[in-house]
Amino acid sequence: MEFFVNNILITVLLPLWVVLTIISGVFFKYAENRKLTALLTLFSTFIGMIFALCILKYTHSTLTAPVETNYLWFGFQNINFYLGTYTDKISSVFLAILMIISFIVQLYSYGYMKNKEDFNRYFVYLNLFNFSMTGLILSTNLLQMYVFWELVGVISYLLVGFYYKKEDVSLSAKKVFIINRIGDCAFLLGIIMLSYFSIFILNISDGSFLMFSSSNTFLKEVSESAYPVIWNIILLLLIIGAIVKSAQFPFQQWLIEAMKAPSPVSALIHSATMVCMGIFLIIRIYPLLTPYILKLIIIIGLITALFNAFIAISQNNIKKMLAYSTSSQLGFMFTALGLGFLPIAIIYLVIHSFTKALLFLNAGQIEMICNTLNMNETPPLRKYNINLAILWLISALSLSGLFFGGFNSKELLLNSLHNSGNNIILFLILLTSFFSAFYIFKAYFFIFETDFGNKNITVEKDFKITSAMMLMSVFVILPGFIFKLSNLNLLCAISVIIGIIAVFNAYICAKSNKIFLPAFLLKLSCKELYIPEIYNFISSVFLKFTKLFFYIEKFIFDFISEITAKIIQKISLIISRIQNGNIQSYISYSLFTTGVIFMILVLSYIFMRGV
Amino acid sequence: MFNITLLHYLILALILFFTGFIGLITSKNTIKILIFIEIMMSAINLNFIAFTTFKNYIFLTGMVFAVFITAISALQSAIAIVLIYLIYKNKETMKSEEIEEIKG
Repeated sequence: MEFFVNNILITVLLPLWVVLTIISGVFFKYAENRKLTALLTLFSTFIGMIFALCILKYTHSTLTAPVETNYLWFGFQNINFYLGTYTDKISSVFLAILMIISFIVQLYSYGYMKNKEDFNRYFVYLNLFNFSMTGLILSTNLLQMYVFWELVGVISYLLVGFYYKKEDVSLSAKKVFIINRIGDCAFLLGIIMLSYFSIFILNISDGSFLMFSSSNTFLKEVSESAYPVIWNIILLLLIIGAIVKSAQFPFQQWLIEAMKAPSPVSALIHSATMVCMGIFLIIRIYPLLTPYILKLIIIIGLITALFNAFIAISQNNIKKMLAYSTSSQLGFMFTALGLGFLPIAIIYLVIHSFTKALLFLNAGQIEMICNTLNMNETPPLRKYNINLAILWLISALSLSGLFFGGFNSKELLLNSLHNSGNNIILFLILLTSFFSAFYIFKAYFFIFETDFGNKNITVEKDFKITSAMMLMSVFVILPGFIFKLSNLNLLCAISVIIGIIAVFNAYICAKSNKIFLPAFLLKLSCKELYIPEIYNFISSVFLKFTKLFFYIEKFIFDFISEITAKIIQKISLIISRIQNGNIQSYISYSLFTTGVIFMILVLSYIFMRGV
Repeated sequence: MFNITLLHYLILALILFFTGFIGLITSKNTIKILIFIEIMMSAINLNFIAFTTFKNYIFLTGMVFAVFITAISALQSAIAIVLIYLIYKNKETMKSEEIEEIKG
């Protein structure tokens, strides 16, 4: 077992090796061998999965202290920065989620991309994603985390803009990247401020201030008492990075735009693994957080959970609805983190990841069959594909907290909220779970039961896709029977009753094809709380600013460069006359040059003697 | 009468060389250019011989060089004349300004 922990670097480097192999294959002639590419990818991820599961078992049974390996990256004076691997209970859990979901999604993608272009490019991106995610999860310090954080963002951009030839897709990809940029900037600023603060104010000069393993608590004690304002600003910047990556309230728009990606990518990146990295960051720096920051996390988490669930009610695009749902569920986890329920947040995250990944895989399959993602245009899909309906029901039951894993995680959350006496938060979360049960079952009834008269259907069964989804559903169902609940009480009953009412409501809603909400609320929900409009307004203001810079560039910088180019062109025209093809003039040039050199020699000789 | 020293020979050679050079630069007929090159060659030969006679009596290295240069310049002018003949056959001209095809 120790072998796996000691050689954990293999999980990072194996995907990178596969990337290089595929890329070099592009240069040689076996480029279009799709089977080889897919098998290589699956093989590497499978090995990573074995590693991750063994490490998970090892860290949770025998390992007491985290295992850390550091390699010197760069350093000056006494301050060294390291790259390395850091294995503890948390990172092993995240690694296991990543590897399992990655393996299943790659299996699914093999079927999904079968008849599409750019098969190799797609798999290169998937492998790069695996590489950078493992690097992020296993990072030992904030700086290494930042590097891989950026890499993950870039790959997300590349995969969102995978069909870059469509203009709206490439625009969306750009939007995703730019909104992510805000968080990245905040994160980097936080790291820089933390470093500056530690080196020049606290005089910690051995570079340990960025490490997760050492001296963090010392840093907190000193700084919280002596420099509370600076300390809170640093933490706020780091938390903004986490908020943006996890698509929390003011920034969730990027996740909605990211839905232009192929469906398996949404399942892998935008629901299960990458968006959880904000939570991962908060868990890593948790010992440093102050009460103000924790309160901020709670508030943002609650707002996100409630508002996004509310928006998701009226969305007709399946993937958009799922994106809002993801953001809202991540809000639950933020709330749990802010209240200090770390294990519950992690359990919730694990179960939500598998559930949401299954839903997205399902959405991809629905898109392949119906050629549309609009719920109002689907046929009664249950009659064509009973598997899909069952899988959607399983994941919907889990997501709404009625059964399977979702039930357990939600009960844990509700019970600990009740025990710690946060009844307002409890109420808000119950309301949100009512909404989430409503929208997910509304989607079920719309897609699988109601007939909208669409006859444009391509029914094709792919073994790989079906088996991938079956495999994923195992991971959704199993947690419900592994975790044992300590106390089944009235709270559980209330939440289940709320869920059942929501399902019933959804059924009526699908029958009558309208949502029972006051008109203005419905409009607010349809318009997505006017958040896209606010974004457009802000960007239009920025665009006006950029007009100014545009003119500056056009009339000053362009002018300078054009003038320089013209002058040089003129000069070179004059100079090029020297080469006129006549050998006699060449001879006279050479004589002239020799004469000049000779004169210089003579003059310098005379000058030297004279002096 | 005055003694003829090395300096006189050198000055004569210089005058010869520059005469040849100026002729080389200014003349338009390619045959003329060849002739002026021969004049420059003879100036160099004169230098060699003068230095040998006045400075190095025993080994006569300069003499040997002079012989070589004479031989090589004969060969060179033979080849050059053939080239000029071919150019004349193709272009029907011997003027150096009209044979300038490689230019910037």
